[in-house]
Amino acid sequence: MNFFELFGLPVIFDVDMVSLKQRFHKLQQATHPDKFVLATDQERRVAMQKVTQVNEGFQILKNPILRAQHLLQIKGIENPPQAKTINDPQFLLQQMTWRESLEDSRSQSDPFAVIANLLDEISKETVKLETVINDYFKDDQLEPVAEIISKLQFFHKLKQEAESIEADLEDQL
Amino acid sequence: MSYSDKVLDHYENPRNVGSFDKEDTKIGTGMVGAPACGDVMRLQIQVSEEGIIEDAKFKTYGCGSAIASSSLLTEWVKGKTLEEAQQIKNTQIAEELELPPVKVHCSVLAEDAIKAAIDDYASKNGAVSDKQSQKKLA
Repeated sequence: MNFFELFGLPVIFDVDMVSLKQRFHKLQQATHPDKFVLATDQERRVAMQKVTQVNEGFQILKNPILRAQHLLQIKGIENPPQAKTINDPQFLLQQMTWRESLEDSRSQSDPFAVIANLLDEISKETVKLETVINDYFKDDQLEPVAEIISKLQFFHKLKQEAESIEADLEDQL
Repeated sequence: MSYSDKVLDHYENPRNVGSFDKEDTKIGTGMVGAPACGDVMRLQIQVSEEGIIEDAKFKTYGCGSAIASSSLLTEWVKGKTLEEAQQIKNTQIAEELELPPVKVHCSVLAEDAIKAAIDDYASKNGAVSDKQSQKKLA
């Protein structure tokens, strides 16, 4: 399944989010169960299948990590080689430091400012990595993409943690 | 999926959490990460002049199994020589903690961390670790 084609979008990493959402809503309308009240069982089954595909495709295409993995697959890298552990001391040290400052944020005078700063940095770093991925895909250099996807996954986790601590602190207000 | 009692014990009462000064020549620091789940682990050993691991500390940001794997490992390596510690396999950790197959990668992370810490100590102290000597031979 090529979800770019399902959504009628060019098969590139740099997906335009506005068009993606528009296509998603159009496809959702076209496959809405209300449209199949008078349809045969088979037609209804096909429509249901389409609904599932459209939803799955939207989740994949809107998420840079999943989208990059999907694009690698389309380009013939079936199982993107994913290292079990990452061995980039500089990168890991930075991740560790961020995790520590996140953990310490609770005891800071203004934890929300600490977290906001961190989220800001995460978003900057994420954009940088996504730009690099996009450049590699443009040049059809697929090999280095897997490692950058790995790095994005660390930022994704860091962001989740930051947001969950933020929500936790808000609950305590 | 439920955690085994052993995992829960280490998760709730992690042993040897903390850090040593990583610039100290007696200290070896191993830092590893698992891209699949975004876990990061730091494992440090303090080594005596006789090459015995006197103390170990860890800090892990990750799931219960990753925390338990590194906590257990710090207990195991204390009192061992570097060579003995090098021999510890992730399967031993997984077995001891009764990790389900989907969590075995957490024990791999711990094994990689102790190896990285030993490598770091060796390179700091001029000794050439196995990996490095293999590289040199190659």
